[in-house]
Amino acid sequence: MKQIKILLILIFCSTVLYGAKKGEGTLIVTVNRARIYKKASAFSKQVGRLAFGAYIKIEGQEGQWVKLSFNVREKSGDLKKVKGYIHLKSLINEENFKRQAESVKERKDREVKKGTGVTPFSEDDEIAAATKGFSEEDETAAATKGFSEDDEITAGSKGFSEEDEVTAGSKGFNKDVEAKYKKEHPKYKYNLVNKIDNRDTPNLYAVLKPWWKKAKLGKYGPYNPIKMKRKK
Amino acid sequence: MKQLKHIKYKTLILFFIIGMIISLTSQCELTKGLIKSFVPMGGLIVGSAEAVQKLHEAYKAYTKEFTPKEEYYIGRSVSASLLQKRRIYSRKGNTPIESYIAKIGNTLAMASNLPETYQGYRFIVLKSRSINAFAVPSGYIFITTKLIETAANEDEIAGALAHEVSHVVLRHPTKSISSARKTEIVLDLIKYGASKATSKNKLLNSLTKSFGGVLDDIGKSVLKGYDKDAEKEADLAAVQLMINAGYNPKGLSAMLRKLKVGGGVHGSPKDRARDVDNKIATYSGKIPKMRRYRKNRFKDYVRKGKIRKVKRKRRAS
Repeated sequence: MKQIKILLILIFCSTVLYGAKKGEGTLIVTVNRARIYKKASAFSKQVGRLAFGAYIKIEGQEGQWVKLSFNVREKSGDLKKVKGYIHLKSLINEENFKRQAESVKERKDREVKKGTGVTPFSEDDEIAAATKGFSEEDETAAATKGFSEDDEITAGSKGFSEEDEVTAGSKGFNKDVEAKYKKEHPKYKYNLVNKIDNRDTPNLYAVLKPWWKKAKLGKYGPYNPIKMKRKK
Repeated sequence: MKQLKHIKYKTLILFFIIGMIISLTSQCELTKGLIKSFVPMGGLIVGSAEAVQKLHEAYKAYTKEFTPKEEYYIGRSVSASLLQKRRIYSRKGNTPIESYIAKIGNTLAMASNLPETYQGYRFIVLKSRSINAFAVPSGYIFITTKLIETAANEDEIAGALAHEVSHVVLRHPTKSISSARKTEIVLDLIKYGASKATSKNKLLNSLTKSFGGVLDDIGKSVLKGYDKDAEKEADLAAVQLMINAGYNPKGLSAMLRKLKVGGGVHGSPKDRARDVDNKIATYSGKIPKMRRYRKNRFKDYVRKGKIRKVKRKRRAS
């Protein structure tokens, strides 16, 4: 009987320790280039983007939004601390992330604290995007002007690479599975889907803000979550 | 007596192991902790800790939802299959009408509970003579030129897009995978994933087979529509979405009334429009107005995009 009691105590202790380890407050970005907003709303200004697999330390939570701070390297080379919000559904805990990546340890150095994996947006870029027309070409211009080509490449390469993804192949649908499926179905229009995927608008806020204003949409609509919070 | 006590211990340990195996499928944090601590021990008892761990991982992976990345790959392949027989409006997607649709769609997506998918929402205009819009996992949303032509204003297009965004937010496409298919995936993973000797190729073949099955299930639902409950759920979620974004939700009921085809398991469009109107009538907050600015903008964009407006009879209001 004594042996069983000891066994039960051991189970209890290990469970408590495991739970404590889980509640450290670190989450991982699970979408490709997640948007970081100034306030807890998707209608607020966009301050940057985070690469897939970046670690973030939670500083607080407002509804479905997680508060975080990160360092951005300015043009002068200095690090500037920026606060922002990211949607909870763009994040995942480490345990679930392992389904997508096995080489989590290798990527620890990509922590947001160090300012890597973050693509910041400056005021100038926003103005540039806002003053130009609304065509798709302008959106592309807004996308590339926010940061230098090098920055983007740096952020991208430090993110979770496709090779890493392949290592996680044993646990679900990924690029390997898609490639095999594509071979079996040569008539499927993957080339068109690739083109569609490339239609990215990095700073959506800068493009949509002038478009919302007169139309009373988004942050100018009757349900602006930021204004509603202030009123409360 | 001593022998009896020994048997009791053995029975207790046996019950403990059975309990652990049952709790493998559980989502409870406490049992997860227990599993994590004792799976290696269970493995030692059974004879192979690694096999048990793999079994545990396979179970864990498929008792949970698909990750955004898995949804992305499913969405890509469903889109690739759908585009086989459909014509895209433009390859670059930079025409004024496509840009306009993307702006309406992104505004709605930003107002939703899922503002971002793995690769972001993509709104694709298809050249088609049928009034249709459909959503594919991970936020690939297709809308036909005929639907754009049929709409009387921006709010009606927003209604159609809000309905599709709601399907993505509520994860209806991946929920449409049959339970038989899910069991098949789990069994395949256990069969191949738990075996130490299995080569990566065998597992890849098995996963590709499952992937094809999943795509078939989703493809059918995407084109034929979801069941009545899912459509209703998406309609009601779309009303809230439109209000949050600043659009008048009556645009959705107006668009639903323009649909000719329907009924059966998906619910008749007229009934759905009535449900939407009831929801709007019982809404306690302020309903955004239909703005003239948006009406004018709609006309400009549709003309710029050279989409021919169809003549329609004006209904008496």
